[in-house]
Amino acid sequence: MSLPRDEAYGLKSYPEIGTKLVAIGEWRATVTEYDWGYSAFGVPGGGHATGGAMTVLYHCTLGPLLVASITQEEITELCNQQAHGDYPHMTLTPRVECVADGRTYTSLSDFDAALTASATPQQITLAAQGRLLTAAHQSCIERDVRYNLVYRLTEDKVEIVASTDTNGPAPVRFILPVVSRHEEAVEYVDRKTVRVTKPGGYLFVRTDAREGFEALDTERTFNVIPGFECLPLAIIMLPGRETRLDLSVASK
Amino acid sequence: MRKVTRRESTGKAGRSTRAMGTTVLRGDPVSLAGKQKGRSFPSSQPQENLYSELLKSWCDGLMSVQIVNVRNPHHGGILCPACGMIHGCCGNALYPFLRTARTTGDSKYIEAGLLVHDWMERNESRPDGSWLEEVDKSPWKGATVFQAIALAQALLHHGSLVDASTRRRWTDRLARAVKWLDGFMNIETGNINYPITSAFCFAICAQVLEEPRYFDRARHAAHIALDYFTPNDILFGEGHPIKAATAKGCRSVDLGYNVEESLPSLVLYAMVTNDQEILDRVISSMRTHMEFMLPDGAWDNSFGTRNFKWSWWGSRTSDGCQPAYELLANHDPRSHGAIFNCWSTALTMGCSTAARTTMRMGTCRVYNTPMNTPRPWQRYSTAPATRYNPRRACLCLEMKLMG
Repeated sequence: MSLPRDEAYGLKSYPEIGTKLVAIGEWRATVTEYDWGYSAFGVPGGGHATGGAMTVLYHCTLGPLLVASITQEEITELCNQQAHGDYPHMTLTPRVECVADGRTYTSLSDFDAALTASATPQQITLAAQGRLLTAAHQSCIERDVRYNLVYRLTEDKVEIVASTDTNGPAPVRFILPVVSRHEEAVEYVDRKTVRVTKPGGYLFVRTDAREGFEALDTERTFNVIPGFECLPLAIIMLPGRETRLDLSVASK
Repeated sequence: MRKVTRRESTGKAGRSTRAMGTTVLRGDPVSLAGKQKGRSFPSSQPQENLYSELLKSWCDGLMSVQIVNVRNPHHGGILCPACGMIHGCCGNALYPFLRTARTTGDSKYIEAGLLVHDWMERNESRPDGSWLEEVDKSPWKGATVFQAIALAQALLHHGSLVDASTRRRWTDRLARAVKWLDGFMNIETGNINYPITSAFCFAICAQVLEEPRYFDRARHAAHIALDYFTPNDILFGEGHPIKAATAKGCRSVDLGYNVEESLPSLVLYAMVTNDQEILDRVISSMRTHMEFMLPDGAWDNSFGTRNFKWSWWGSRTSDGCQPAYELLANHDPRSHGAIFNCWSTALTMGCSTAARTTMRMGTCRVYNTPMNTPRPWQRYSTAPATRYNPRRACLCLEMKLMG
């Protein structure tokens, strides 16, 4: 009795939702460029992640590692959503992000972004190109900031390569909220490596960014969508330079 | 434990307070727990026990915050501390309360069901036959379709637990509701889960009210829905314009609503009416949708149009996939895994006690009642679970019994 996603089938595409499913080794991932904006009931512009975002990364032993929330906090249905409590919270979707003058530009909102994928038995590669936009789909005022995202999934690890073509109006970061209950031990092995002790094993997240992770903090953030505490890792990106991250697993 | 026995309404305050003018019946608890509408069914199936235990847990949680005070204008309502309000749909709990009364043989669940139904009647019922979705926060009346289903299922499966006058009153009320729906519902009404769910609603109302014309209405609603499947058999229409395609050729799809509301409703419709064409299509669609179930049983709605309701244990305001996949289990062995994985997710994430735990999450703004301090794992439980989870488990039980 197995589910379709139990099997390491490689790559599947669903063009009607602009979404690709990946299954290789123990990794299961969802990447989307879905461009349907939910406009019913006066939604002001936010909604599901798009732009080539990795909206789920799941490991068959460790469980969910990356997930997605709506692109900005908003109440679409007054009585059917729960307001956040007094705790740190943010959009949980991994993203390129630039916050300037009270506006947040991310790689989560570009309906015109392009997503491609290729597969070999050893590696699944997905690549996305788009523009940093607000949740209401507005671009940076001074000039467009274009981003590239590449995901390479092998049996051993998941690699994320992010870059932008130019400076943003403020520092550009890659935000990687990693699903982790606050009871789980977090250890910064060095500035560029963090180890999270999960019930099923160790999760390692590494970056090649020169300064490593921006803050060596262990405080979690939480979002009711989809209901996880996360360790919000952040890395400063430099224009024109690739920033690499990888996630891998080791047994206890 | 108080047993289900023939007792007259007391009209006194407290948990034993009955709904006005209602007599709770019937029969010994042993026979109630083992029969349904004259049918015997196995009660020791592990899966069925799992559902029953979950359902009882959720009903107990709901009862723990049900307002039971005849001097309170919201007597019988279920107060959600996390949201600080009485969700309008709490009236749906009539059906799961009665189901739990039958399973456990405990009359307190009948009383709770009567009270919450009466609360709904006093606060949400409209002269045109509809019910408001919320008392004062939304004019939307489309959710009448769900209220009507709950009332129809309560009558159909558990009507024998209440007296004849109550059954008559509920039957008359149901007739007015479905008449209103008949004039209100079309394929453009709300998102597609509404018209699709109406197919099941019309079918079960035809059955309960013995009005065959609603079978025709049900068939019409179900067969229109056949135009809303993509070539991959993914249901679309969770967004407007309902038939539009985007620049990339995408359709409005919400995985959560599809698997937890629309497809189960189509299954239930097809079961009631023996509509093989619909059954074949929905089985094919469920197979496609199952591609989005993660290995731990969570549904991957990370991209859905209504992602704002996504949670790891399901979409926030839908019934649950289990009725549909129970059916599919007869056609595809893999769906057995889907069912067990899904419930496993609910259990391991603490959602099995969602009703209890979420009621402790915050401070109730309506009555300014301080609640217990939340524990960390309770963060996984979110308030609307209290509204819908009982119906989820209950529908699964009924599906098993129908099957």
